[in-house]
Amino acid sequence: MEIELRPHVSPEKTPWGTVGKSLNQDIVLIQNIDNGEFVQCGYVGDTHFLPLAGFPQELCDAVAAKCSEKLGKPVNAGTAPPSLEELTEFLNSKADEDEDE
Amino acid sequence: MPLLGDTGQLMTATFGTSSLSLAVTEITIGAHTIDMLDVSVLASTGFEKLIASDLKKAGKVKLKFVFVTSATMPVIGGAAETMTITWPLPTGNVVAANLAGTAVFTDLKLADGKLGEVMFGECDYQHDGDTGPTYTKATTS
Repeated sequence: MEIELRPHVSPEKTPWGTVGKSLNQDIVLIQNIDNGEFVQCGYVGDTHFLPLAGFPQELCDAVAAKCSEKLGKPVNAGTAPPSLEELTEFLNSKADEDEDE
Repeated sequence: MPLLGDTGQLMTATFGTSSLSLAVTEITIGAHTIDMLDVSVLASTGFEKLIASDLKKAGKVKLKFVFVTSATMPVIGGAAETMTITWPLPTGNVVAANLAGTAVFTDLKLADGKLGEVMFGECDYQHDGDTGPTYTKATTS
């Protein structure tokens, strides 16, 4: 798996020209295994890889490890929002608890 | 001509420092505005003569999310961090459109409880203007 990091900057207009001000995060691109093209999959912030919605949770650890290699600092995999299945399971468990009571 | 337009599915909110993970169901982005200053003079006719003020105001961003009691909630008035809204990545594009800048959470509405209804929370954040906010369109390279 190959990734590419691009500094995320905010262009700020000044009387001396436009400068890029750092947003303290990088845009993470991952190589699509089907066509070899790089495409954004998230950001890497201070300490975590922050996946875009829908990015497979199974790949987050590997991407975080690659980010860590490139940045030379520890990067954890961001916690993906709970999936619909997890949410359904959670709601069902609450319903079971209510029935038990 | 190909059909244009997209829905909000796969839109993402990310938080650079706190790394919060919210199960977002709705994102509302406040308008960025600028005041207009009246420079009408006695000789003016027709409409008021207006010029744009110097500084723009960034609207608040509101997130509605599925309330999961085990999830970490936003900290109101916490340290500013980079908050990014990313729009769905169109086919053929490499980097998605995004709105990014330093911001602070200003509002948090915890979930109400009602039989037979999923609980939702809501939070707002306000860009502090230190860095950004900047909208960047999706790019193909």
